[in-house]
Amino acid sequence: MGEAVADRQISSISAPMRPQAVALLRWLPGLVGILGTVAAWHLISEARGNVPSPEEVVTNIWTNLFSSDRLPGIGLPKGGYFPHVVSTALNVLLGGTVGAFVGTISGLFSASSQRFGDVASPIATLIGTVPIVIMAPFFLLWFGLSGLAQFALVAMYTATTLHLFAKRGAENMPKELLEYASILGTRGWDQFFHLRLPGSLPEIFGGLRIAFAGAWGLAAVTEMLGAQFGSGRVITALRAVYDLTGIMAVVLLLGAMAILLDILLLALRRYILRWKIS
Amino acid sequence: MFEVINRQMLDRRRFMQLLGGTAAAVAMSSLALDLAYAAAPEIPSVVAKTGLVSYTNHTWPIIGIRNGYFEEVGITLEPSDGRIIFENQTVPLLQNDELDIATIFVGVLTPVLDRLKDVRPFLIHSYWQGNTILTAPDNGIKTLDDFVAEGLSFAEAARLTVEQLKGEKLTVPPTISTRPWLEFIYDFGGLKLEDSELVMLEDPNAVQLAVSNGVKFAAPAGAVQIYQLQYQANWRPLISTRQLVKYAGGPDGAPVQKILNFDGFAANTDYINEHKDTIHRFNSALYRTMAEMFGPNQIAELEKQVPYVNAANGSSLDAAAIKFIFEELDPFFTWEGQARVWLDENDPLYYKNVYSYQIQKFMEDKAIAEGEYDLDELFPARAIYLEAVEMKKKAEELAAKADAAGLSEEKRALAEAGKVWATKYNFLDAVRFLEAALAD
Amino acid sequence: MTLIKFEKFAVEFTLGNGRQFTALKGLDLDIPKGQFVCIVGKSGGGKSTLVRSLAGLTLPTGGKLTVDGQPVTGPSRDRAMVFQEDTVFPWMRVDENVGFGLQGLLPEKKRERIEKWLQAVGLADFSKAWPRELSGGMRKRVALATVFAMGSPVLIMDEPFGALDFVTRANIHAILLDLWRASGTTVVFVTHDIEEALVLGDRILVVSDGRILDDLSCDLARPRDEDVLGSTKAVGLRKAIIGHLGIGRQPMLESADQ
Repeated sequence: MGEAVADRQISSISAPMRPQAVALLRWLPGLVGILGTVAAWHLISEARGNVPSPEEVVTNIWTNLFSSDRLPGIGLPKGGYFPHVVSTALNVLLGGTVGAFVGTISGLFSASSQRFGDVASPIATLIGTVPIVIMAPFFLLWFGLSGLAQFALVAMYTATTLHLFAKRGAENMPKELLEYASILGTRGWDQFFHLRLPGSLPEIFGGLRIAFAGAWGLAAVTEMLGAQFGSGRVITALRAVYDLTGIMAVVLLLGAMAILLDILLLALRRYILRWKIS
Repeated sequence: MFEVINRQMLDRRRFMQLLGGTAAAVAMSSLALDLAYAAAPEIPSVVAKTGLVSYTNHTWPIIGIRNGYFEEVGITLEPSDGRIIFENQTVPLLQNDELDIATIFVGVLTPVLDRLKDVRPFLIHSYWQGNTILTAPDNGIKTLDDFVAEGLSFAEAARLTVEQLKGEKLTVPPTISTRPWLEFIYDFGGLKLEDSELVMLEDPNAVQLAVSNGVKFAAPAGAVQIYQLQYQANWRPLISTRQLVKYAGGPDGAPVQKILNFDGFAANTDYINEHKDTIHRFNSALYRTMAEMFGPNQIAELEKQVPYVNAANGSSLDAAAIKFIFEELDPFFTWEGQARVWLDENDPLYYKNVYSYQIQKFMEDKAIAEGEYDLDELFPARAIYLEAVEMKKKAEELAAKADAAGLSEEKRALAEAGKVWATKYNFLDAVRFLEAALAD
Repeated sequence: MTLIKFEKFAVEFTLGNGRQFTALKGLDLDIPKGQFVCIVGKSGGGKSTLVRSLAGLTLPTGGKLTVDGQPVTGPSRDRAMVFQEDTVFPWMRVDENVGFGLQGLLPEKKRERIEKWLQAVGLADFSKAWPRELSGGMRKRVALATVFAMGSPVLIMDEPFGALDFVTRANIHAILLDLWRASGTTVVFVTHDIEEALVLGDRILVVSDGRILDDLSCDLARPRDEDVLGSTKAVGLRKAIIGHLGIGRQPMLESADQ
């Protein structure tokens, strides 16, 4: 009897939370952060006349998202912001994916082969430090106006980021794991696929999130150089007419897409790294 | 905002320089000159943060800077040679007070007339008739000149010329100030702008792409880039305002006037209202510079602009090229020419004749909201010019009075100084000095 | 029958400051098949270098080392090793870890062997668990299952249980001894714990300064419970080892009650 009472007391103290409550608690800090940011933005726009308010920006998005009377009048193709944001998203996804693939392979190889690393790593570092506004006109000249310039620039900068992260991930692998693997009969490509690659995935995902977060800005900047479509194109046209509300609307849309992609990346990370994340 | 650093910039040395070799000064005693100086009205010393867009017809003030004209009227520019900016930076830099004064292409204001009301030009100094679509050499494309030389009528030649743009890439500047001109041109071929693939690029990038054969057609905004492509890279003018003027009759009575645009100097409207005197003195230095630029020593004066404009654009213009630009692409409104813009309603360059069509076009394109737009509100330059005209007239009257008045030596020195100011287009201080000379 | 033979075996390292350091000095050692050899000694004495050489991870600078008559030239599945560090692959489930050394086997055979050795180490119910879900002791059992599943004739263990608590260690000793008896594997076990050596070994080598100071036969009765470990023979072995290691000198300070 005493044990049963004790059991009930223990269970009431340590009753597990319902899954919905747990989910809410996890999202709550982020939600508070967003609401706080919007509130601060609102206050700043009240204090300074030249900062559009959140309400104005949201209204601008609502009015111009799928179609717009205004955009053709300032030199843009028909349609609203949406096709442009999608175009930027495609640049980011395609360029980022190709760049991530190339950079990951090159980084992992650099960790495995001293000779390859001695050649590849300085190149990656050098390219990564050149500002994109310097590189962009060169890409325009080399790749022309086909859209390849935008893709290539995003791919290049993503590759340099992933090269560094993948290399670090592979180099940080404990030496004993590699020795153990060679004792178990694993060599060469087997070691690459069964050890270096999966073992570097936590770092690689870190690099992916950083690279893709930056890729949105890179894509927009390259689109400012002659692209027909894309957020950068829209921002250039809006800047010409000093439409700060419109510019902030496009930037907000880009930010939303970036967050969406990050959420997808996190979900992918949770699945692939389920061996690490409980 | 303008920063006043010393109350009085007109020290004795400058006063003596002002009087210079005037007959009055030569004849005067030292005591008289000292007394005259002591009685001279103050001219404040101010600092003006100044921006100059890198276009050829925006960087000419460097001539006046080199000649010391701004310094003479108490204005110190910051930085001393002006700050080179892009066309689309003018408005934001003036709005957030990073600049007090900047050159401006009025075409950046008209597409935002409904929203942007705090930056306005206080002087108009030239008009742009250089809009040109250029095409690469040896690519088989025929220009308006070619079609007209084949004996076709202007209308037919223009139609065939413009039709060649269908489905092709054309570089245009990122501003929409050139849209009315482009739409006007495309109309000749029955095309809309969407019939071409417009590629928005800053002028230097457009030139790089063009000379590397990345595009067949280019329409840069700046005279430098047009000159580079046409006269240095041998690109051909497919169709241009100059050709229209040549073949379709001049601006007189032709619709071509509707596609012209002004260039000038702008400031924040608060500043213009609160610092009228400084604006008048600034303008006087500009008028004086223009007089030298189009005077007997034109080439020598334009030589002073050569290194500055080349550094700003990465170009290799010489004084002759700048002269060409100022004659063919960017004709100037000197002091004498201002009357065409502000007073003569029959002149095709009268401000209302130039801008009414463009504003109507922007309303039709929904670039700006429907409504009545007051061009006098857009151009405070008109009111400032009219004030200067009044002051000039008053100075002339006061000068005549002073000549007849039998003034003392020191008073005569002040009157002479006033007359000298008038010769330098500084009618404000001309009046002040003459009034001081005639005061009891 | 001698399985492992060290002949004048020497290993020298070049330190960062350019100086030469001799880790093993012309060592001679024969280990017969099926023996459980424990190696004890002070840190830096050469124990790890000896077993890493046997694993093929360190190559000699002098002498010879053969296993079953074949020279050791590098790592091999015939000489499995359990490290002190946790070497269970975190990104593979338990059964995938155990099966990692079984490449080349048919899937059916592979599954059988995995199940058998997981059963032997008491982890049959955890075959689909991730290593992060296991305790340190359980992960060591996975490592044992992996190396025994490979069926290597030689098993090298370099202070494998150093991080485990007393009770877990005792349990895993029992499992290891069961596996050893069932498989007939030759085990070379490095430890700094004299008691562990006495519990596990048939033979105890005392290594110091790159040499074998003593080669002690540890023929205590099995299982080695408290009575056996407290016997005169065990005490004698303990004293011999301690004597070689130089432990038990006069105290540096006078005690308070003198």
